[in-house]
Amino acid sequence: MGKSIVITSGKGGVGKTTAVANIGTGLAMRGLKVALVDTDIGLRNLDLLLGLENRIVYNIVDVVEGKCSLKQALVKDKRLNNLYLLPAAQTKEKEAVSIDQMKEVINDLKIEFDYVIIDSPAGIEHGFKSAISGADEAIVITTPEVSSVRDADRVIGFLEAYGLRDPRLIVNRVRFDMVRNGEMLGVDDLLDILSIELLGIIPEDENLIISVNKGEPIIYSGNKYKSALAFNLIVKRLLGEDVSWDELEKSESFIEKIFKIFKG
Amino acid sequence: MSNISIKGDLREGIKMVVNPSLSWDEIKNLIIDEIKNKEKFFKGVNIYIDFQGREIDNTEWEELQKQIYENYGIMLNKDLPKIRIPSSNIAKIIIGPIRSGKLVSSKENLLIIGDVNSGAEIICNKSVFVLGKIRGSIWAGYENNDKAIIFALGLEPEKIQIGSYIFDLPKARHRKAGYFLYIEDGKFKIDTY
Repeated sequence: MGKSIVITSGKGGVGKTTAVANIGTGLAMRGLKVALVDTDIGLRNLDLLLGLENRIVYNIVDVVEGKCSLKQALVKDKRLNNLYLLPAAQTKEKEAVSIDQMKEVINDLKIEFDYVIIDSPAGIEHGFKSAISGADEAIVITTPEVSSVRDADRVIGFLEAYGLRDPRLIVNRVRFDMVRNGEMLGVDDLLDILSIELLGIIPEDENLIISVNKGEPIIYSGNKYKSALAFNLIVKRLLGEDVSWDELEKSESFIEKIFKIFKG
Repeated sequence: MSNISIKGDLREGIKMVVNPSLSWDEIKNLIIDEIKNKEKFFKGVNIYIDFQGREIDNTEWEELQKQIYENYGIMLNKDLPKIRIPSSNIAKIIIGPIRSGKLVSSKENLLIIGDVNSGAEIICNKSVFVLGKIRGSIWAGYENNDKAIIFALGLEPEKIQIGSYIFDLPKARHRKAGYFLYIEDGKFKIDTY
């Protein structure tokens, strides 16, 4: 029996789908059997980030409506044999899948897979509730902005109310230089406000935008880019390894130094 | 009861209680003797004289004040600092943090152990004590109880209201380790530690 993890945020556009694509790929690269579930019905994106948009035949709504089996709806990744995507329907609405149906789908996937990573929609309505219903664990992702932090706080409250105790935090789009100058909330400030365990820090990285547009998760590039390194550290942490975040900040300042040399 | 007694139960200093039925001269001599005998003890301490409701002539009082100050360097006060305690000692205890979107309402005093985060709302008919930081909004003394107080270890609130008064807090971050908020003479007061 595998483990299901939901990645959620409350606020939209903070990097849920990117995190799902990269963490899922990272786990699969380590040989684990991974299923990624897009529950953002009506606004699906996860297929694009994985470059699988033209391979989708069936989707999660077809599964719960009995039009196809779960196996038929799963899309195998282009590069990894042990990574699968269960896509959302683009032409239906969130209510097309009930909370109980979602729970059942996730439980069926857990039998086959080591990890089931669930991509939650933004908001705290039906879609969010069904996304977290089948999850064993939760990861909350936020950016260091007050609006995003407040929404994350709300979501943590919801998760706790729904029995998902001890969610862990990923802080996305951190700019260490701005934090050092006091222009951006630091990770310590966020942990102080949200009082949950830190799972990872992802620095702001334009290479990440390029990888999203290419449909190729950045984690494939190994540790070449700082965001890829960050995702690798998160995957390690998820698998129970001890990880130091200093490595990340060091790599950042190293890159900054090189920039400075070039700029003269 | 003796004619003069010392009670050290004020945060700001020492309280001296005198028998209100004595004449002014008797009271005056009692106070002078007391201070003379324990001069070292009183040095540098605020002394508040509690006349227990006895009428005091202002010129006589100022004379005594001056005499004590000139001889011993001690300043006497007769207006007791108001000791702010909640109107009842029953409190509902809530373990925080109180997260965004959560509304907590209580008819009793509230003791919140943990932070009150941005987007959270507390509405309480009596006083609110936060053993943490206030980042959200708090309405103590809902709806018209101006005697309610708020205590917090940290203060970066969205909105603070006591009874019918809304506190207009400057946006700047405060760096103290304890805040008492209360209404006095129709004005918001804030004591820090």
